[in-house]
Amino acid sequence: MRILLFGGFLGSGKTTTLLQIAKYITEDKHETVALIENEIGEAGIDDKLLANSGLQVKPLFGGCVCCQITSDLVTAVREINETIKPDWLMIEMTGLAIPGNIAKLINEYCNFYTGFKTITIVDMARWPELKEILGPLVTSQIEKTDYVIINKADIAGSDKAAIISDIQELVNHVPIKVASATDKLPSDVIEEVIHFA
Amino acid sequence: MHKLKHKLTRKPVQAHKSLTEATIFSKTFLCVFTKSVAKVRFAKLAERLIQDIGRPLSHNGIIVGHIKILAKLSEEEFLFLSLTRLDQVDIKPSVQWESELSDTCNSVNLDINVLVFGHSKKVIEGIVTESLAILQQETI
Repeated sequence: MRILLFGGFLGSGKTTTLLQIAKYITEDKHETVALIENEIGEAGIDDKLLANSGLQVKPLFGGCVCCQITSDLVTAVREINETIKPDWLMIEMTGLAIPGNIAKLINEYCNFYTGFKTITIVDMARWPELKEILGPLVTSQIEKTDYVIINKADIAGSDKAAIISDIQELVNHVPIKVASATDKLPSDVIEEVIHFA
Repeated sequence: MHKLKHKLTRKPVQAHKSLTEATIFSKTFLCVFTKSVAKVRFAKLAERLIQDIGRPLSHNGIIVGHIKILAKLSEEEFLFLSLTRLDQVDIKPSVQWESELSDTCNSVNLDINVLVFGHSKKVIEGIVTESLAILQQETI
């Protein structure tokens, strides 16, 4: 089972991106996918959206998996590995989670995977404001990740080059792709995300 | 539980507001209309609703967080609305959502999730209540 962990700030486009990658894996690669959806709030919304697309979803409510319900995540990952045994497990974190924290958890307690990658989605259109207001959170979401998708390029302002350069300074050692998930994530980006050497 | 552990440090330039904790408002409302509303019109009203909620919570036109609404006619038939900036509302209908001009609805369940920095739960609740009242008024 290969694990893809999706992070990124609230509203950055994690669900939309994940959905497209899940569809590509199931429809084009004919492999199986299970999803863990961690959402904050009593009224779960993203899990309904994903389920409406025909995907099997395990919702995790009650807090953020990177700091509040860490054992729930470990239990859910182990359970899926032992019962459903999918080719892929995709985990969507809350928009407040720090991917590096969860990666540490997965590496420590769920290291039965055959491949593991963290993908952080960045909202290009809000990056300057979010970095100014919530710098420590949004930068820590990017710093320890394996792949960055700079999303919403279609609605970003004129300072795109400066934003890309800013993000490259934070993570110069991992692939960074610019995209717009609402249009359609390019298949070469999806292929890179699901590629394991 | 409505406060998360994530404690953040802000730059001094933003000192006029406290942006150290995310506030979570998550509630389901049942809206019953006094007369049938065309689904096409309801979609427009829902779009206005999310903007009405987002406007007073925005900072320079963006939401420092995320506002989501799931407007459900049934478990399968719903509209999903998402707001991260005031000038753009993302709307996705479920596969089962039918919106012919003749299709109407008498009531709708609204799951409203607001996750923002810099506003109290009480303030958010007041804004949501006012915005829902506007929506109800528009359907009379």
